Amino acid sequence: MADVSRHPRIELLTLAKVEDVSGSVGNFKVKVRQKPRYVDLKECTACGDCVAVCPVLVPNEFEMGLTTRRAIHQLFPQAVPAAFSIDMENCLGTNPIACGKCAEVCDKNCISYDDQERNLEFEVGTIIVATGQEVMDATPFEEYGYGKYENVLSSIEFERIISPLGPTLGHLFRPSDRALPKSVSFVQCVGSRCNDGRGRSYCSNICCMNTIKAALLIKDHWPETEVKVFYIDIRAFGKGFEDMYNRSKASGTLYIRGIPGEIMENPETKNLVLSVENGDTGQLEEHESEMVILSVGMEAPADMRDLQTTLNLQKTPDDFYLEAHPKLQPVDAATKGVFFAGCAEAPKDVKDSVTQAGAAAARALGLMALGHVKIPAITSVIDQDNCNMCGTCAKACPYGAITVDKKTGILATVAEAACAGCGTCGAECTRGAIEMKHFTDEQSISQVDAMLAEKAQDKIVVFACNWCSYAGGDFAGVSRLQYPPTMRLIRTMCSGRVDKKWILHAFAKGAPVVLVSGCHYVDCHYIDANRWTQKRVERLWDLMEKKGIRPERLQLEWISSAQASRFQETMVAMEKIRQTVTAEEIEEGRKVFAKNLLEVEIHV
Amino acid sequence: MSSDGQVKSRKPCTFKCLRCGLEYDGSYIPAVMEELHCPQCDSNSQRRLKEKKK
Repeated sequence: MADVSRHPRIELLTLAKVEDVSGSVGNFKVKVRQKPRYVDLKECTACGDCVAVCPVLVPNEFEMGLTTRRAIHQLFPQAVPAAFSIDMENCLGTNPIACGKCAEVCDKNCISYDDQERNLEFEVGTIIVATGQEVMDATPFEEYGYGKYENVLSSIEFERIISPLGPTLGHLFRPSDRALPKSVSFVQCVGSRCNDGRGRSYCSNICCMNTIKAALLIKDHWPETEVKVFYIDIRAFGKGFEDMYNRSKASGTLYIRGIPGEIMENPETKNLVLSVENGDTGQLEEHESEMVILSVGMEAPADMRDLQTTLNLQKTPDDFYLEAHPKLQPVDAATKGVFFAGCAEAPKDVKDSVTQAGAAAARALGLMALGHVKIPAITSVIDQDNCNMCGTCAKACPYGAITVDKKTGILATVAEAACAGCGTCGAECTRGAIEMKHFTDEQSISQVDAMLAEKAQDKIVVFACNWCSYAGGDFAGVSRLQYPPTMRLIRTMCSGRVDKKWILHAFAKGAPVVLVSGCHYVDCHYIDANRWTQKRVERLWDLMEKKGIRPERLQLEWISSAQASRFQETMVAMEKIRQTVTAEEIEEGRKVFAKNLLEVEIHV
Repeated sequence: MSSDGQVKSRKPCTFKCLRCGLEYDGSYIPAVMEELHCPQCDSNSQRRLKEKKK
């Protein structure tokens, strides 16, 4: 960070929040709101004279409240930039000035009570998102007594205690009596791998090694202290990690397979009793310890959601950002020109964060050094003569690639550099003003016509997205899975492209069953375009019922590229439905969705 | 919690599976799309029939 702050071509904005991002790769416009610091960054040398006279004491957030700081402060000694700032929420007041001692003692006149919030705008080519991670709260796990028993601490609090720069200057003691504990127990997976709603279902990646490191450190400095680790399984997968685990065991740390069901405190000694079923022996055991450390997991910061909306990013069910591809584009966001570094994408340790940050920087530099971007040939094209500026396309675009404004008379315009080619805009446009290169209405309707030209009553029309459902069908084929030969596939890049016109045209041409298929919600390759598919199909079900056509004849299925068996099962189910559709029903569908009526009803 | 971070309450309603025909009670969050599955056949063709009166 010190290198970053000194770099001539890096501008560091502290206390700042990204408010808005517009534009596309190569031409992003970023609006930033920067809170006032009340201290001149250029002049402040962090001498500390101001801190010495500040009368306000508040809990130090960085030290997890284990010590205090002043209203004018620097959170930790290595903070970058090396300068103080005033926490105005706790300062005694500047209007009128109630104290003013910091300004009085500052020889360099760095203090400026008139400092104002600033709104900044930047034009940038690429964006790297590095939002970090937060420590989970152990309070909901009442059985461990966190917050109730003094000697039960979280791993991050313990980290501060044993830090040479922490509140105890690295001296280990337990909070109740300030004595060196004779025994310390660690409880793993607090909040991680938790499916009861109090934590997160994923492994937080770093907790096992953090505990092993802490256990080694205790044994190194205070070898007489007994250390026990209660765990489900130890995940020491990185380079040198297994060695470190073995060293920890060799140093005398006792690893017990089993997570305590309850921790009780002895009110007299303040010692803690952990009740646990030992997974190796199957015996219920009780272990007494003078101090317990809960190895809490990591989670995404709450304000990541704001940036998700601003940058049109995808999230995983774990609330971290979803990369464009887990193997081939692990640092790319689905939005072109946006990259992820560190824990924005998943919980990870310092080494992995640095590795990913380097990759993200290289990806961004590669784009900027090239000076231009390659865009896919499959993008949307807008016929502005037919545009009525309704704005539906702009609302549907997952990438914010379409600009339209009825108030100012701006017709819909697509930024091709930002368009990923899902085609949702074209399917949602009620005026037929948007086409997609290589996946036009005419091309798809011609395919429907060809499929249903002969024995339409025996065919199932399947619209499948390129990335998941079509690939799932491919996988079913290479896996030699048998499915009925009555299905006919039409490939689109995304299920969001499947226009209601195409579906109704298939019924008008005598299709007994139509299936629309795409990626599962979390897998959508176009952020959330398949939500629009579902909305469209739901509207069509209502229309079909209104017109006396069984909604069951239109089916919707999410099939991933790995789900060959799901593809097979779906096709078998579709064939069963097809066999229930009578000739009269097909004829009714033909009449109802015949071309003339179709054009009237198209605005569903 | 919806994708935009807003806490929205779920509304009870009856769903119908358009594959197996099962009708079942469920709930949904207005204006939030969710991947729906039939509890019997796992199909995603789930139609919201009506809201349940409280």
